[in-house]
Amino acid sequence: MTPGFSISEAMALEQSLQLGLKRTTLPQTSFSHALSAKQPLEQTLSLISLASERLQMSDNNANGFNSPVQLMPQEDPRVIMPDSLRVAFMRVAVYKKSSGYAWECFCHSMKTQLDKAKIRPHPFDLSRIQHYLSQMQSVDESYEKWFLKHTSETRTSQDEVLDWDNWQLAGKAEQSDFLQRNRELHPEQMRVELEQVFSKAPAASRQVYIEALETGLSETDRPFLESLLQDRSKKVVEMAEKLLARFPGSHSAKKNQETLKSLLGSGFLRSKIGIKKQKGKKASELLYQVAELAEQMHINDIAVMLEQKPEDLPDKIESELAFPFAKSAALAQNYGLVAAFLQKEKAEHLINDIDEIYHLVKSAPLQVKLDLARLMVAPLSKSDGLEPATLSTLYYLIESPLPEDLATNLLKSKAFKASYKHIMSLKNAGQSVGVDAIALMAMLMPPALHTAYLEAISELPFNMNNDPKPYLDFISKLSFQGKQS
Amino acid sequence: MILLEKIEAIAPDQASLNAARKLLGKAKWPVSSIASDNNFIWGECQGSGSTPYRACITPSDLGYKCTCPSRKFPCKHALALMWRYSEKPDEFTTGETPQWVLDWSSRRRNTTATPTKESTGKKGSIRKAQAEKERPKDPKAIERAAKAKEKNRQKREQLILTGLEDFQLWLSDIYELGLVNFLHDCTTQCRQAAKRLVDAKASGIASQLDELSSEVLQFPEQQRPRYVYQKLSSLYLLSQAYQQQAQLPADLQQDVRRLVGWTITRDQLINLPDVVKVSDNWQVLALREHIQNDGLRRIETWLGRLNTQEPESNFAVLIDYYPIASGNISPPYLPGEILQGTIIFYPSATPLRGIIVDHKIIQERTSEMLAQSLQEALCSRLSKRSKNIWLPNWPVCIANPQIQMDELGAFQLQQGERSIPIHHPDKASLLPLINISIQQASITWNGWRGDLLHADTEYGFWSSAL
Repeated sequence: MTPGFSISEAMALEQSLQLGLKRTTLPQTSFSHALSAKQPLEQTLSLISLASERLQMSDNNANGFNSPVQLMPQEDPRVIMPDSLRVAFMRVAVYKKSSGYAWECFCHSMKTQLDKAKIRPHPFDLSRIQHYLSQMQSVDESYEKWFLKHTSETRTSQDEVLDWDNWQLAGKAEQSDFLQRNRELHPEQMRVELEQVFSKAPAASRQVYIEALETGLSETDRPFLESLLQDRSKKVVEMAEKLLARFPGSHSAKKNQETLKSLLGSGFLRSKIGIKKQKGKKASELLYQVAELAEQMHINDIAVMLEQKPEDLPDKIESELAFPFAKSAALAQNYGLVAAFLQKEKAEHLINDIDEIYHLVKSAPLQVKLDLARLMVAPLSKSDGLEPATLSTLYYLIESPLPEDLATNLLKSKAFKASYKHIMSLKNAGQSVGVDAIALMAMLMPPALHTAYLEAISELPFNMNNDPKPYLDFISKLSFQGKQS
Repeated sequence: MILLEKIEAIAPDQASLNAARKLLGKAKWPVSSIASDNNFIWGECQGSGSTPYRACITPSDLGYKCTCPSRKFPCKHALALMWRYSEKPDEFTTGETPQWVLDWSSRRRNTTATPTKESTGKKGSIRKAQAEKERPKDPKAIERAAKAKEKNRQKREQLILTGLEDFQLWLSDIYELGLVNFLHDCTTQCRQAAKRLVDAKASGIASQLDELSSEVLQFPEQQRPRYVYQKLSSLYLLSQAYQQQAQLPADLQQDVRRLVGWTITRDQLINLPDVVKVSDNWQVLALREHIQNDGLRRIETWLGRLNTQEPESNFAVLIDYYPIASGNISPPYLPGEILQGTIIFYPSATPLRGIIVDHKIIQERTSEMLAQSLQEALCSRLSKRSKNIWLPNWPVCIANPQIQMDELGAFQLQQGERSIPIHHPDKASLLPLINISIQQASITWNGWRGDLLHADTEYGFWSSAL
């Protein structure tokens, strides 16, 4: 730059421009005389512009950064998703406008498959799948959780991430969901965190909190539950008693046994477990009472009261008691017995109660779940149409596609044909529930049936958010990746 | 094999077939290939933009896709690709299906170009298109057109000069009232002055002024007067330079004329004497999209030269404009792709914008970009700026930088003792770069802030994509 036009002169000139030349005059600079030959207007504008050039050549416009935070990326032992999978994954996981139920199910399935394969999304893709990340449950030590936490801190994310510092600020449903998720992942830590805030929370919240303890209940929860028997809220006390009754030998369990014993005094109840069936209002009321009690009791306690072996009970009870007894067996984590009880249940009830069954056998071995799936597919195939929630729960139950014979039955079923026909008769079929259901069948199809399934649905008008083709493309690429490695 | 009758049946109208016929020549298609399993045909057709359009077809059901913004389906490029394959299959090389074709294939809905029952009547005829010959041009008409063109040019020069004088008066009023006052009503004032410059046919300078009001809002309040001051001063110097362009070096003169609003077509650029051409391997670093106030969507494709020996022309930007009404545009290239080809740069004292010719995609990156320390990069930009004070957002490649974040969520790029603020429309996308090992990163730097283009990192290739 021209010698003599100093940075301080340029800055003084800049200062006077802020208020305007009507109020101030341009300061004299050592450069001014060099422009004296020009017209006054040109002289002024040239001087102003050259001062600006002086400032720009000093290259110190940029500022505004404070001390950097000491932030290190979360270490995560899982493999970063390879490029061969990324495109297929992102095609599903990137949130589209009005992404609906089918999208959530596809994402859930992808997450499950990736977790099994110990693969995590590529860090550079996370900013584009924040909605996916906030919908899926990530463990605390995961890179995704770290990413969401920090994007939330820098207010770059639209979805607020709940943690143990802010969870009580969320709505009741969100709090309940947060507690349930944490209970499933870290039951001990969840209870300890809960204990710290429990007494200060309002009664309605305490009720939500204690309900969350039902998942993964263990002996270590017992002292806390016993302390809640003195709670100010009657509902909290009732729930605490209900949960304590699940521990054999507890005061509440004994209380239940006594009640059951008093009910068993009636001849009717004995007939209900295989001796004689009776009718009448009183009988149904008693039946309801037994069912409610049974759901809260350990199956071994019931067997003792009935003077039966637990494994003989499924053969001796009527179908009305199958479900409560299955719940009782689930409390004892006797999943073989759960399945045996459910076989007594009427087929159509199994479909209606699929959500509850899913929760009952969440921790059961895969074979038990497959046996139950086999029980359910038959009535499902014969139904008048497919429901998205039923199909997704069936998938969540087994967390894998159906065995080939069952999947073939479903694909050729009356229910599939009825849904298909109904969709084709609709004007705006892409958004219909039926299309979602048929899309979700993709999750239940084993690789050998992908082609047959895609052929069967080739005429259907899927939307971007419920099209099963990108999902199946991802699944086949993931499977290929697994074989490669 | 694709039958011509089928192409006729799916053509939207006769005009599309006529236009497709003009694209049948091999020269229009630097790339035309068929997959080894015959499932896909694809090609790249050179249009009037800086990047070619990519079209692909599935011969089995005549499904198609093209990156052009045409509202006709199929467009002339897809029709021409089918037609060429039908008549000259030998001109198609057999190759591995590229990723962009596979991406389209897995995303496509089950829509084929099969005519519907309602549209069984053909809307165009290939025979008619073939029969249509270019009419011989009348030499007198050509001469008349050239004279009219020259007259228009002179008229426009005069209009621009008058418009620039008007702009200088407007600017002196701004300085009279002060920058703080101007910032209160910046949008309206800039819009009105820009409209007058558009009327004066100085569309380039008008557009810069129109964008100023939205640009300034991206800076903290205390920085805005200085930013406005420097931008307005730069525009004043541009207007002065235009008025005295005869005294400028030839290259800088071209910069000034282009910034004021004169354009060069692709054909004119290719035929210019002494134009800078660089043939090498180029990596697609980033794609940027900018919605302009004039109703255009600007797509910038940033390329980095993979050659550590050459100190000059290490970057190129291909710029294409589309009407916003055309909707989302499929990017011509994907970040990370490597092109072997020639860039022809627009004449400039600091060549950067260019067009691509004679290129092909290659799979392997055999060399790196030339990277500098941040200090060297900042100095090299200032050195460029001393040759061209209207230097655009200038790209530089930094070796071994670190990305850091402060407690307010602001990001900076640091290397050695120097650091500069960096910005990205989606801050979350910068988060995974914090404190990881980065071998090199390219940014554009305008003296105010850096915008990250790409980073080669321990996690792989990061890019600022659309």
